[in-house]
Amino acid sequence: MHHVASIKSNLVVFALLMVLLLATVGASYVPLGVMHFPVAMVIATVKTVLIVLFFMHALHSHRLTWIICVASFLWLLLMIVFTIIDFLSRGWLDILGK
Amino acid sequence: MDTATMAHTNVAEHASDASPLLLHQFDDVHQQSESSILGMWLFLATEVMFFGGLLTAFAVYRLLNPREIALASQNLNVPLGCVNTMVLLVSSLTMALAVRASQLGRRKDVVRMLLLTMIFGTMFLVVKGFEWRADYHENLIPWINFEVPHHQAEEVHELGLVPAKMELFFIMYFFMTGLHALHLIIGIVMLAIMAHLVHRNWFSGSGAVQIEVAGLYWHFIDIVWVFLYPLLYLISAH
Repeated sequence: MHHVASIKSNLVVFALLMVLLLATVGASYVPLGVMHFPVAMVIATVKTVLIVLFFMHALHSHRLTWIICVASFLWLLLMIVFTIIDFLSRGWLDILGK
Repeated sequence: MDTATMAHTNVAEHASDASPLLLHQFDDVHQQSESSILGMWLFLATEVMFFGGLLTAFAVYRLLNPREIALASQNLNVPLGCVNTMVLLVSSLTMALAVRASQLGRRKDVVRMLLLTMIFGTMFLVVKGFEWRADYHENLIPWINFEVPHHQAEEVHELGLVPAKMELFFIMYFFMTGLHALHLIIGIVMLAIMAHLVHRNWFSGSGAVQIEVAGLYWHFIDIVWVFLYPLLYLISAH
């Protein structure tokens, strides 16, 4: 009924997560300037995808599960991006009374 | 064959296939377990929104006060945070192995792996506790004893930074790590109950679905930390 992941594949995913953790710590020591934030977030996202696909078995789960999973992250992204756009663009337009 | 007989045969077939685990509202055991897993994912979606609100607030404050947030974040212990991330990743591995053992019906291994997961989860909390204690001794607790650390006082003064905005970083830091720790405590209690039930052979099946659902929650806590660690500790570290 269920796909049973082998111990080896679990260990490989774990090893990748460790490598990515060291990469994110290492990247914080490299002078990247404004790129620090995007690099850290990309690494964290890759780690999340690994955990979701393999540890949480999303890879072999029902399509409905996929929808819930993708939708939750999509909505989070919308919330963060639109809020930041709002704060960044305040004062760009000359609005009377502001 | 008329429809009445067909319906009758279907019911008969169904009854003979039916596992003792099957509850009457589900078509089959597979649909039943998919429903449990889907339910947990829906709960996790609400959790994403829960932590998402905090992350959004943090993103905005960081955007508006980059220098104060950067300076405040330098007071956190990067190596300890890294060790803690490792501990949590190991706990995710043992959790995944517990789920695997439950799928294979190896009860002893399930209990063993769940106990290991709980131990690593507790280790994370202990390290976190020591970090919070150090924060207290360094006068970094908002509302209680917060003051700008001596070695940063000069910089704050020269650049004309606002100490209250550094305090704001620590308010968010304690709120987010505290909420994460609370989730972890709930997770550890849940795993303890699961380990006990598996040990007692309480589940009619091997408890595979139940352990899998508990695992989903545990991995979610791990994912939250995967984002909190770089956001709080690393982004402005150097």
